[in-house]
Amino acid sequence: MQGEIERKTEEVNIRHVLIIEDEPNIIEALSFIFLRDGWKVDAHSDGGNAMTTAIQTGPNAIILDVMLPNKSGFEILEELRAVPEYREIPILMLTARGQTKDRELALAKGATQFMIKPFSNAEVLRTMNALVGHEQ
Amino acid sequence: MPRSAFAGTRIRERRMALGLRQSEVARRAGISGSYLNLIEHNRRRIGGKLLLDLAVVLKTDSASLAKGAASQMLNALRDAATEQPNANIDLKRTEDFADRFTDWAELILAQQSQIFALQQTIGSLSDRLAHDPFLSEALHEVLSTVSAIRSTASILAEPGKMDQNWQKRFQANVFQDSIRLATASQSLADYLDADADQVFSALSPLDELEALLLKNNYHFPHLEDLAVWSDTVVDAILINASLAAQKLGYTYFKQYWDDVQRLALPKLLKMVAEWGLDPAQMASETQLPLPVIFRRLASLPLHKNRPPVGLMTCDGSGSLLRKQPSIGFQAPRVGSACALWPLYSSLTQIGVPLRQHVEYQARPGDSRDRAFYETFSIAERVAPSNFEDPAVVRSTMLIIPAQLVPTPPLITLGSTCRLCSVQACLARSEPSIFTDGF
Repeated sequence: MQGEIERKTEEVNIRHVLIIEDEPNIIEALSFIFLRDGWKVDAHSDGGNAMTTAIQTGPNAIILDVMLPNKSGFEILEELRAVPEYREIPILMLTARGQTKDRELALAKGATQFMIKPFSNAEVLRTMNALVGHEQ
Repeated sequence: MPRSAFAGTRIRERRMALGLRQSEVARRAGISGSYLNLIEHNRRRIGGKLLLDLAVVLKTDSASLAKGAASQMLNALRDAATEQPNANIDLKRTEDFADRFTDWAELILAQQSQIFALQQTIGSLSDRLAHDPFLSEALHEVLSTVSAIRSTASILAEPGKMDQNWQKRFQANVFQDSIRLATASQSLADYLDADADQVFSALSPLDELEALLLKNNYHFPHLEDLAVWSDTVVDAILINASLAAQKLGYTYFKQYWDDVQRLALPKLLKMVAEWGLDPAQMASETQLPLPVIFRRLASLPLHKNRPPVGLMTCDGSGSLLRKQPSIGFQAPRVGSACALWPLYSSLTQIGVPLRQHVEYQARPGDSRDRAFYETFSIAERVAPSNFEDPAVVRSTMLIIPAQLVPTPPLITLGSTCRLCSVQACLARSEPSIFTDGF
């Protein structure tokens, strides 16, 4: 009953993240901390059809890895930004290479934030909450 | 032009006049016999302390040995000065400086070559980091696994109770990832370990191979005597080479050996004794293609009665594939060679043999600032003749020092524009560093 009430208040301002990442254990850990924080979580691990999943699940924030099988995170970022519904959606990019080149490329292609692996769970969560305007 | 104009030749003459063995002189001067051999054949520059040491061993004054060396030092100092245009160095005072502060001049040269080596190293290292697919994949694997471990471990490390099923799952994940990390880091370490020598050699594979060939004076007795091809013999020659240089080396030595099968050393020496270094005569006698004859002549062992011959080859883009120098006639270390080389003229008339006397314009002040050579060039198609593959062209030029001043027509050429002092040259593409004050 207590749960019912909580879920109802959440629905007013639902936070729904799509994690596009090919490391299953990273997906698992991130899913855990986001679920625990009250987010709805979807995960996807193949670059090739990430767009389809994004459109089907309809998240309001995305975590996007740069190195993905079949299609790079940069390409997916470009495709997302080309769709009107996703032009403004917060996208946090993750990369294992902290080169300035990657950061510049990500921001130029429209990433909202950029984070280098290995990241801290708390920081990812804090960033995502800030990006969707959720007060903690 | 008398050959004694070279420091190396003068050292050799002096040593022989004293009846000293090469190994003995080398030992007393604190260098290896093979290094002294290179110096004596004018294949290594000499100057500084080594020259003084040799002068002592040879009981002569360094000045009489040094004529060539001193001007080499001046040229190197000028190079160093022009590399730093902002320093506004007065090149006219180079000689004065080298005379009065020889030790400081030596220091500048040592630093200059160190700068060059460091630049090469930096270049090859950044190339490696930027373009090495294995390295970037291995690093990515390590970082991804570390991320997964950090993320999972930080959940496990949180205070308070956790659902047992989740806890078990995360523990299993960390364990699994730790094994992956161990494997990934091991393979990265192996790779860096195996490659450390190559990274720091700072040479392109072609330069590396060329250095190895030069060290052996372009002559490989083991291959001359090898009846049946054997990888082991080549492996032994290339034992310290990087993987890329080994690959090039295999192609090179396979061709060397193939050439030996077509024209063995005894027959070659017999023909040389009979006709001298005459590739045309040899080709007509053996019915072998000219490039084979050129290459065989360039692989002759050094002999005091024969000038060392040079051999250059290039591909259709003009890139030099082989840079075997003949006494003073040298290919530039970096950048493109003189456009007037007959090697390049041959590219425009494939299959047509070209014989051309040239005057090689060395750096002004070099002991041999005018030197004459006879060159023989021919370009050939190396791709199989079919209708699908693109045409691949290779040009070969044999360089033989001329004993006498040849009669015209004569082409005046150099090593590369930067280091050439020919003023009115239609082919000049870059200013010379000698135009000022010389």
